[in-house]
Amino acid sequence: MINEASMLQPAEWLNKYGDYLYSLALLKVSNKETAEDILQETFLSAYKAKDSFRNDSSEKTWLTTILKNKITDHYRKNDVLKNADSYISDTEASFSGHFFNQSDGHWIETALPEAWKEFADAKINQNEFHKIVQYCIEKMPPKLVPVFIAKFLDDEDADKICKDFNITSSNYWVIIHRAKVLIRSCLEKNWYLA
Amino acid sequence: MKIYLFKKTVLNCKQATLLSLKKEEGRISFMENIKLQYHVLYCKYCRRFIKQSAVINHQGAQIPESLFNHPAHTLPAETKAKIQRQLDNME
Repeated sequence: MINEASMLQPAEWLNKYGDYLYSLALLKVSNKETAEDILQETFLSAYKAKDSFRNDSSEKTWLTTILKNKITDHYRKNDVLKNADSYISDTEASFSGHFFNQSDGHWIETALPEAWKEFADAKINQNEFHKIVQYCIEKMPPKLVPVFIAKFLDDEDADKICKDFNITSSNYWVIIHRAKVLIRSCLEKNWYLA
Repeated sequence: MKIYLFKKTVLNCKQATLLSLKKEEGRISFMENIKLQYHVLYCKYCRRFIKQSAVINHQGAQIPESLFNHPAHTLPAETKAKIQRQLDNME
C-alpha cells in the first residue's frame, strides 16, 4: 500500500527548499529575523501536518502555501491593517500630491508614465527584476505591503484578501491602486526600462 | 449645465488607473468600462500605465519560480541547523 505521506521527504526539506522559502519570505516581510522565524514556523507546522498532505499538490507547492499562510498570520498578528480608513484618508493628500494633480486628478508633469523599452520576456533578467522589486517593496508604506504581496506574488482573490485583513472592498482598491502606482514608478526609476 | 454633467462623467487619470486595476481583476462594471475605454482613447499616459501594469503582473508571477531556481538569499547556516535539529527531534 502506498502511504501518501511518504511522498514527503522532511529530511530533505531544508536542503531543497530552505533558501527558496527564505528568499520568498524575505521578499514578503523585508526583515531577516522575521523571515527566519517564519521559516522555522513553516517547517515545524508542515512537519506536524505531514499526514494531511495529499498528492494533488507537489511538496514544493504545499510548503509554499504553508509559508504564505504564515506570512498572512504574521501581518494579522501585527495588526498592520488596523485603522485602514483613517490611514487612507490621512495620507490621501500626500499620495496624490506625488502623482496626481489636486484639482483635476490628472498625472502631474513629474509623474507621467514614460514609455518603456519594448522587450521580450526572455530579455528580462529575472534576478535583476527581483532585486529591484525587493527594493521597491521595502520602500513601500508598510500598510500597503500585505495586501500588495497577497495580490502580486500570490495572486490571492480580492475577497479573500479583504477577509484576511478585515478591510473593506473600497479600501482594498485604494491600497492596490497606490501600491501599483508606487511600484510602477519605482521600477521605472530604478530599472533600465525607460 | 450640459458641460458640467459631461465633466462629471469623464474620468481623470487617477480614477482611470484605479478602474484599470479593477478591470485586471474582472471587477469592473459595464459603465465603468465604457468610461475607462473613453479615457484611454485620448490618454496615452494611462494607456502606458495599463500596459506596464500588465508587464509588472506577468513578471511578478514568475518571481517565486525564479527564486526556486536561483534563490536570492541563503538561509543562515545557524538557523538552518537549528530548524533541522527541531525537525529531527520531532521524529
